Amino acid sequence: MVSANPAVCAAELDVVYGSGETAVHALRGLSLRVERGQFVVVRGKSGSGKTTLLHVAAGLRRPTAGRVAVDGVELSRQSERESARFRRRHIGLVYQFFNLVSTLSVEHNVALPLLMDGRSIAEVRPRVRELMDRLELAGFEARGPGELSGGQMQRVAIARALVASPVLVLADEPTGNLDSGTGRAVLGLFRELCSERGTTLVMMTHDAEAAAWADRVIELRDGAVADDLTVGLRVRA
Amino acid sequence: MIGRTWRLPLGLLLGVNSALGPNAVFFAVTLVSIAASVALATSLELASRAVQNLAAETAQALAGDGELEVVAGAGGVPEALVDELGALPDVAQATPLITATLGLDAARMPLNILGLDLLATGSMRELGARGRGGVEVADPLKLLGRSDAVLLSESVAAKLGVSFGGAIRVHAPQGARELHVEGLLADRGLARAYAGQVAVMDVYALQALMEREGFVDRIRVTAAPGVELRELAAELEQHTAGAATVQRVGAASSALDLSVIALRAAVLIVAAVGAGVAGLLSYAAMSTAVERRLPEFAVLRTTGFASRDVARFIAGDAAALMLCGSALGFAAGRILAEVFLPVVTQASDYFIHTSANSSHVAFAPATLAVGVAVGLLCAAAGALGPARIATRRFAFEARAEPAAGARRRGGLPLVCAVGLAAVARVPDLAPRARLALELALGAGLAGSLVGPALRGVDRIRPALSRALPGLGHLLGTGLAARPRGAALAVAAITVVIAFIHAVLILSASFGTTLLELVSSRYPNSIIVSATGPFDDFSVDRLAPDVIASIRRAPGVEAVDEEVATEVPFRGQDVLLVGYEAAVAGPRSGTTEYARHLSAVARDVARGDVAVSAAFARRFAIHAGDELELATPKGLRRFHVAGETRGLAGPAGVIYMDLSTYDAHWKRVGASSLLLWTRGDPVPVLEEIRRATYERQPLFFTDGPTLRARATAFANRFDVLLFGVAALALFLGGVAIANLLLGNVAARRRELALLRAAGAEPGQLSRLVLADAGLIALCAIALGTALGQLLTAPALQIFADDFGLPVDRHADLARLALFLALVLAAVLGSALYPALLARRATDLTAPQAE
Repeated sequence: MVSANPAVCAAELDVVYGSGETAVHALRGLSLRVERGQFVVVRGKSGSGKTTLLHVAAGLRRPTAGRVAVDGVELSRQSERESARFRRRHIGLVYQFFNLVSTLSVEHNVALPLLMDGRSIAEVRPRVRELMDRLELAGFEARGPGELSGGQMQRVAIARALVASPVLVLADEPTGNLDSGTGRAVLGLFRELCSERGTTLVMMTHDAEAAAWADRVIELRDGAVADDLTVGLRVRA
Repeated sequence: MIGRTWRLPLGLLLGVNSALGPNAVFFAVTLVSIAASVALATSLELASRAVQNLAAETAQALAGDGELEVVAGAGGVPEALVDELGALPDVAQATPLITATLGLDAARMPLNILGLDLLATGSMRELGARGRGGVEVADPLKLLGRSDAVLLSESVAAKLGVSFGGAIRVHAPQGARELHVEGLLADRGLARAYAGQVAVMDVYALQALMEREGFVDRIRVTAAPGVELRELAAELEQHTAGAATVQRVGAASSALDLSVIALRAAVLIVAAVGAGVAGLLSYAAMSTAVERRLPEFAVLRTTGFASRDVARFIAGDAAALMLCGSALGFAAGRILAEVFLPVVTQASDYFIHTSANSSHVAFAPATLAVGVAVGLLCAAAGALGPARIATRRFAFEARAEPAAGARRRGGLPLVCAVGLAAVARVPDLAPRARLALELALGAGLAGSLVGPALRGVDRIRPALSRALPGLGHLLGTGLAARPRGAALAVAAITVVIAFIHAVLILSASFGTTLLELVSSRYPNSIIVSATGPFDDFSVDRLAPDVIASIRRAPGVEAVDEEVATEVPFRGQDVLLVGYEAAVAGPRSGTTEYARHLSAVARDVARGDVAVSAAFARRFAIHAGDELELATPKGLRRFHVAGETRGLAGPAGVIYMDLSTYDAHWKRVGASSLLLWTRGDPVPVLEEIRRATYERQPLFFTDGPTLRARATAFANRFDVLLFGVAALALFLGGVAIANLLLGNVAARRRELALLRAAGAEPGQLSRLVLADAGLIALCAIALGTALGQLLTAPALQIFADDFGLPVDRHADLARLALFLALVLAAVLGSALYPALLARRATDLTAPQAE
């Protein structure tokens, strides 16, 4: 179903690194529309533009040309400060290498976007605890990231991405650093989030199995959409 | 494995690439820190050595061919002894020498005039004088022909613009006199004494000029062939019967040696502080560069390099930096040495009227050793830790999150604290050892407290989060990520703050004590002198007829005539001051010290002496003891009535009544007068000025002027201290900048994560600044406390070296200003790292390629 206000709307995106003869076109006129609640897997070889697309969609990088809007808000026109504020309130990011702050406790890591927004830990604790319970992290609040397994760390990263109830979660190879069982569990979790909470999830991956969990699979090639397939059948773990 | 042949060139290539490429900032910081510390150490070493060179040169020049000297201080040796000693069978030659320092009319500078027996064998050869047309003056009769003939050093002649046949005007005890230049002294032999600020006259002509007929300053004795010097010295001593001291040539500079030793010890402390800070800086810079190069090293290891090879690469980089930094440091040190020269010369408290010049600055093996040692220390500090990081960490395995929190070392702070308390309580510990121990233990305590402090921050994080929304929850996390670096930075800045804090207290204490000293002694008197007080130029004496005119002037209530001269005491030159105790004593001020002075004056007026506290400490002679002085009339014993304060170098001062002085020493005029008037002093001084103007220009210094001069004098002392403090602060600032740069480099991934999680660029900048502020606050708290502790030994060292025991005073306004400066310097040094933190965005590359 096509809505008037999609989760992500990118139009004619161009991203060029460098200039002159050494210029590299990471994205070439890419247009994309992701509806709310969709679980989209973006696939492609190395250098196809997956990570660049993720950064542009997160407002971490401005496109050289074209526009990108998340939840109707055009990120490409925002200042750095505005896009940072928008990101912490409306976008969650999950990475392959977890990227937790090693010197903060698990609870503080999960609460990070809310704390960045100027809220106190006491104020956000109920929401943090609820998410940690949901992601089977209860009891790990005071631990450091170094005391967790890979799967637990990735769940902490996912909890952090979800803590602000974002419209959009962007994930970059979230299962790339996990064993197959844990990776499958993470994919199942993403599937549930999309189905039950209506969260939009865009996942960049090489993982062929991940496509089986998605509503839609987009193939990138040389910075442009080569294939866009809507999947009818969902596989459950 | 890679072949041995290729390891070295490849390592060098990678090092150069790194130094000129991505790690240029860190290599530059290491280079600058090594160069700065080497420059600081070598410049101070060179400057103090230059003073020593000047002293040795002066002593050598004055000694001429002599092997032994017979001296009796400024009072002089009876002239008759010259012939008596010369007639002894074991003596080949005995020649008299007089030295006098007179003010030159043409330039505001003093001139050291040496009186020689020009008829003695070798005198003219020793002088190397040139007459008209550059012809050597070999015939002394040309000089002996007139009593006002003088040979002037070429450097002084050039400075004054006079040449052969010209005249110079000097202030002699009888008033202004004109001397005729009969030749110029080549820059060798005697002309090298007093840095060339010298002229030569016939000894008897100079005697007459100085009104010192019958006395000479020293007799230079050359032993007959085959005579043992020790035996000859004993024979001479027997002959002089206590009226003079016999010493080996060069022993006269022993007082200077002591001053220079003290000075060099201070230099070493300053250099050690600088080297310590620079070492920390090098460690921080190189470890940051190594952190950034870990992927590169990991690649090398996967391609066949052993971890030991990587360590060698780092050692090679450090050695190259050491060589370049030391070379730069030596060059800068040579330039800086000349800047420090005037202050260091005066701090030696020996050459009051002369300053060493660039010709005395010479690199010695010891200078090179000090510089290389400092450079090596910095390079080793920069290489050892980072090499350890490089060999133990393999970047390709470093993707998992490291365990949070540093290893707890609860015992170290306790050990350091207990050590500090113990050192503070040991009563007989030498002040320098106390200072060094307290610095080392204080640095250890500061560094070891960082871990607990950061854990404390963790405990109050909820409160911080409320107090600093959006920032408080992350405060200190950057430092906790690199606890060792943070500990080192805090330790370094703590040492810098403690050092400067002690310097500030020392400076304030010295200034205040000096002011109290000049204010409390004779508060309502006016000082009359031929030159200004606290003036290097104050060498002229008040002429006897001028003094008589002052005494006769209407409105003069009382006059205290004072004379100052140096006498030998236990191998050192000690200042001897004669004053009219019965006049000055009752007119002392109302402070406790002044009352003590007044009480002592009563005994001094009866024939006792008083000694300064520095004298009492140096020679362990206190009130109630007796001291023995060599006078022109033989050895005399004096009872010590009490101790007073006085600023006259480490050897101190002996005070006696003028009548006692006159009973033993000959004098012409007075060094200065203290004058009390009835009613308004202005018309009285006008009358004195009118009556004496033709004979001798006079300087009148009242209380406020004296205080202003004392303040200016104290400020001169401040210049050296603040110069060193500024350098230390600069090094500290660079250390912090470096730590934070390292933190930002090591935390790029984390900072990028925070950006991804919604941190605004400004928030990241503020986070880095807040970490810097945290370091500053920790260091300020610890450094101020340590500085308080260091003050006691620093004041003790000052009292020992400069001869003025000072009361502890703190200038709180200056201290506050300094701490604000520290904070500003720390925040300023954090600006660039903060700027870098804003740019961290890319999370997909956990390490730099």
